[in-house]
Amino acid sequence: MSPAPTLASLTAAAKAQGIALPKAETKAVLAGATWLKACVALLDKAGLGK
Amino acid sequence: MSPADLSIIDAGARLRDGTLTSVALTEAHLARIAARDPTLHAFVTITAERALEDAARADTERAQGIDRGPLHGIPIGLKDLIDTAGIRTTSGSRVFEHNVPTADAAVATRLKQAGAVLVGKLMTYEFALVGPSFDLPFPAARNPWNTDHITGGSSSGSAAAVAGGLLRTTIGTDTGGSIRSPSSYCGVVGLKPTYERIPRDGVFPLSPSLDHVGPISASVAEAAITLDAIAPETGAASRLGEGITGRRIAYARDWFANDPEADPSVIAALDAAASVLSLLGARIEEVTLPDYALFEAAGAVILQAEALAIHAAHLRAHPELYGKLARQNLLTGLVLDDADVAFARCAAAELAAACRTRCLATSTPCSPSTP
Repeated sequence: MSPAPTLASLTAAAKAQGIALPKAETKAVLAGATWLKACVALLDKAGLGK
Repeated sequence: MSPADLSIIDAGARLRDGTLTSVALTEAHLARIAARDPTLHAFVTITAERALEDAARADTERAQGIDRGPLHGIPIGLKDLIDTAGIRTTSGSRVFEHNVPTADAAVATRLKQAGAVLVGKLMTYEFALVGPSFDLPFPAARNPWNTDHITGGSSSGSAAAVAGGLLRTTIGTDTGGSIRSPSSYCGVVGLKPTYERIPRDGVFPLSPSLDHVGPISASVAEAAITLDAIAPETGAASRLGEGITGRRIAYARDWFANDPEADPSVIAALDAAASVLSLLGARIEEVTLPDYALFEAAGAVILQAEALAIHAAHLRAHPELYGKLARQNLLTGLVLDDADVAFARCAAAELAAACRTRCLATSTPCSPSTP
């Protein structure tokens, strides 16, 4: 499992895809991204997806 | 009583016995839309002129002895993600504000073949993602029961149009609840058919692995009639009135009953519904399914990854055309890598298999739409 996202990893992912990440929206996007990664962790913890 | 208040069954009977014309019926619905839609905002585009032409054609065909079935001459509306040749199809977004498709979606073609009269395109959360948004060129649809309340989404206009008495039946789409949720919020009938039962050609995708097309209607019978028009092999309307004696109902009560966020009145209503089904002869079998949060987690990862892939080019070129909520929602998927998505797909397959083995393969599931 990849680690929980940080501002740095989110910014790097956006840059890699050539997509602008508006500064004023970074906090909201990071919150949603963190929840998505938590979803992956939840599935892993439940022993699914192996 | 306005003809707009007639069920499709009653309107159809009057169309056939000659006491009502499709033109008069369509005019009644257009008058209702003119009176109420300025408050409800269910419609993005109203196609009055074209609708009246189609209604007149239906009347002519009927006079010639041509009967295309229960939707022949009946006004309908389509969620504005569904392509309609020559009619603007916006996906609820500034990105496609002036998009006029050159071809009909498969579902629009089937409704046309069934003789339905398209009176307009219905509001959707932007690209069926998230909402309601208030920074789009179109106002958000309002819940007819209380216009201070949201409709649920994303088929917001479809549910508002039916609940507000503007139309008896509409078409919506459902990826993570977008037929079920607005139908529940607005107190109408939503039907999410089996995956791939309805062709999705010409419907702007949200997440192709999870997207479904289906009816939002005023009653079960009208949903069945609509389903038959877009998936004729189902024969749903012909089975209306069949008893349910012996039918197995898989009651997933503990999916939500122990959830502190679930409204106790919803669980009580679900218990009451299960009791009624039992009194009607169904076999209620309480089943324990994997935790609901696991389904939500797998679905969210798949949906966000697929949605970002679909929108990446537009987000690179014109991010400013997206509403704030949709743009933020899409950008969350940036942190998912291929391994995350492959993992979520495997997990989803295992969860689906668990449902099948715990009797959902042979039963009808019973659970709340919006606990």
